[in-house]
Amino acid sequence: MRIRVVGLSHRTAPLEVRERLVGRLAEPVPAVRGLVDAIAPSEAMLLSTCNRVEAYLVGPDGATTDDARGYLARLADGRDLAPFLYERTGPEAVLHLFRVASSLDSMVVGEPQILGQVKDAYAAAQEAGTLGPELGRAVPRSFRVAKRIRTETAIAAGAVSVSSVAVDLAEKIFGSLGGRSVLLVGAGTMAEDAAARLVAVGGRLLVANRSPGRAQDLAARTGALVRPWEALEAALVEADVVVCSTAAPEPVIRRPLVERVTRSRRRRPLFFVDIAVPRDVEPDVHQLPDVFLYNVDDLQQVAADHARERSREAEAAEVIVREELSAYDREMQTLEVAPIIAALRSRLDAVAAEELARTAARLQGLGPEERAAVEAMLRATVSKLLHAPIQSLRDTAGSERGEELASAVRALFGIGDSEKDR
Amino acid sequence: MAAAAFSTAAALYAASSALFLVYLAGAPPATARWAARVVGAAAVVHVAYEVLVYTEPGVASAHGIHQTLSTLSLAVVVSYLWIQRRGTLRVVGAFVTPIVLVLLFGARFVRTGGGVPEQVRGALLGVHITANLLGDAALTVAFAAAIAYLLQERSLKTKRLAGSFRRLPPLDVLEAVSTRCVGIAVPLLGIGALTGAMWAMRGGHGWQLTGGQVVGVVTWVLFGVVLLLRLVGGWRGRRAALGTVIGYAGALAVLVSYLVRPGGEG
Repeated sequence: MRIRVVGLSHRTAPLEVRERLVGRLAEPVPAVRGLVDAIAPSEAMLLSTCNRVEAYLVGPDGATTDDARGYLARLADGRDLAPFLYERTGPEAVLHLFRVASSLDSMVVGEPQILGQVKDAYAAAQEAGTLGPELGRAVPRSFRVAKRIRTETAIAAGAVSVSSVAVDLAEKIFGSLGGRSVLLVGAGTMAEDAAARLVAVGGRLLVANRSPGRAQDLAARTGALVRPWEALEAALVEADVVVCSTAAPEPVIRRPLVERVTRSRRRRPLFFVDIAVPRDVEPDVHQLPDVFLYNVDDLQQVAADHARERSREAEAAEVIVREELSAYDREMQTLEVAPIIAALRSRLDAVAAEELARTAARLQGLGPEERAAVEAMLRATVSKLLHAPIQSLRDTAGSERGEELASAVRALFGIGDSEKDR
Repeated sequence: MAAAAFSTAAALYAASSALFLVYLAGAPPATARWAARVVGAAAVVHVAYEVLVYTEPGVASAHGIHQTLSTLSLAVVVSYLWIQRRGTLRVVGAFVTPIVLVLLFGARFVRTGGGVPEQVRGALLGVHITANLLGDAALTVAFAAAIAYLLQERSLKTKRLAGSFRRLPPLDVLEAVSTRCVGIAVPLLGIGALTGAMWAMRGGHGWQLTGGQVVGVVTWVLFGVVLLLRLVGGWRGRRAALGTVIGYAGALAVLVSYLVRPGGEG
């Protein structure tokens, strides 16, 4: 494996460094072409996300990665990137690629976006014509590894941010949020974020705020429908999910109000997401039938539990990555001896064909059936003779012994390097 | 041959039940897919068993109420396979398959009542049995969905969201399937009760109801009330789920009364 990776990520570089590079690599196809023009590797792929910039390269040792470091430094306006850059070579580089695609190296382990970003980088490299046999095999293999990990582990299960936990819980109560109403009580930024996520999965946004001006501003930004603060009870009857974030010092939604609301709603479930501090909803409300109340501590607790579960699943995922790396390594080693095997077979087939032609010329009386039988016998003999040496070449591929055997085969059967590479 | 088919079906139902439990305990989603496939395979073998039992010479004596339990369990499985076809409700199989196993073993090993005498069989009896079978199958699925609902609701109320919480379907989906199944079961069981009464009168039993029949009528009324409250009284969520569970307990009481009665007639 001659793959190398040079890059930086959220683990090694601060945001200000990453954002500078990412800004320069916004157009993926010209970016990877620029890399190839600058450092001339035989293969290249450039992965650029908000959390990482990595150049996957195949080419001469040393020089390529040094050139890549220089190229990235130039993109960062000459800033010294040495403290932030990491480099992996050979199997370690492939292992890194598998881990990145599987989201094991992500800031939020198990997040789904990174696989799409690696696929986009691969597509850009394909379009730019910068892929070759090594990256052409390793990168698609990383997609398979990521898929296997998602299927066999629960690495992506459970939301790990307050907003996404709120969405998850709403979906566990209502199923699809399509056609459901999300009421924003107060117009705080946190609530807006949670509401935006709920609306993104199909909810209809309503907003009620003490200050009508802020409600109108929010409505203008998000397309929400404004409900007057005085008609909060009617808005609660209309809503399915209520996200609260007022700055009120006392709860604005009390148990008697919610009791009246649930009666008017004919017991349709009502889900309160209270991310205000101090709390906007009286805690007793959670005791009412078909009413669910989660405050910011509850949501953070759920998110933390999920993050711990993902960490446990990540251990199982790492085992899968190692297994896949071993399998990939074996395949690549087998591929390395494939040209010698092909040349050896071709050489013996040629000898057999030559001898058959010579013998057939002497045996004029040979009919088509007899000729076919002799041909079949020769092919079978060649195959049987080659079986053991080919198996040995495959079994020892990649090892010192394999190199010795390959050299012996080349010497014994007169296979030259040019012939081997055909 | 029938015995082999029975054992195979039972083993497959037990295997699927175990797979569902493993899935609820946190195994990957593929486990539930395999569990549902195993239920499908078990259903095929179960159908073969039913065909063998009803056609094999010498096994016809099994045509009594006990064999009806096996047919009921098959109807439950078919109902489950129907509701889970889109995948969301697949895990309800965790609650359906143990009931199926109990019914199946009841069919095989409980031998207290007899079959229906040849001279009183007729079309009315066929309608009575079919309506009750389908109604009870729908009730069983409603019960399974209600149990899943109660577990899921409890997780949300106690805020313990680990384990089975992520594996179980959303409350709204469980409520919808439970309501739909009760909606199907009530008219079917009504037909069952009506035809049962007509059949009893024709058989000379008059309007005197046995203990089991009284429980049956009470259960039917109870489910009718639950349905009515769900549809027009705004009964939803936990209360509706509890009503379904209690109603199902009544339906089971009817079934047991059929099994243990001395005459074995419906």
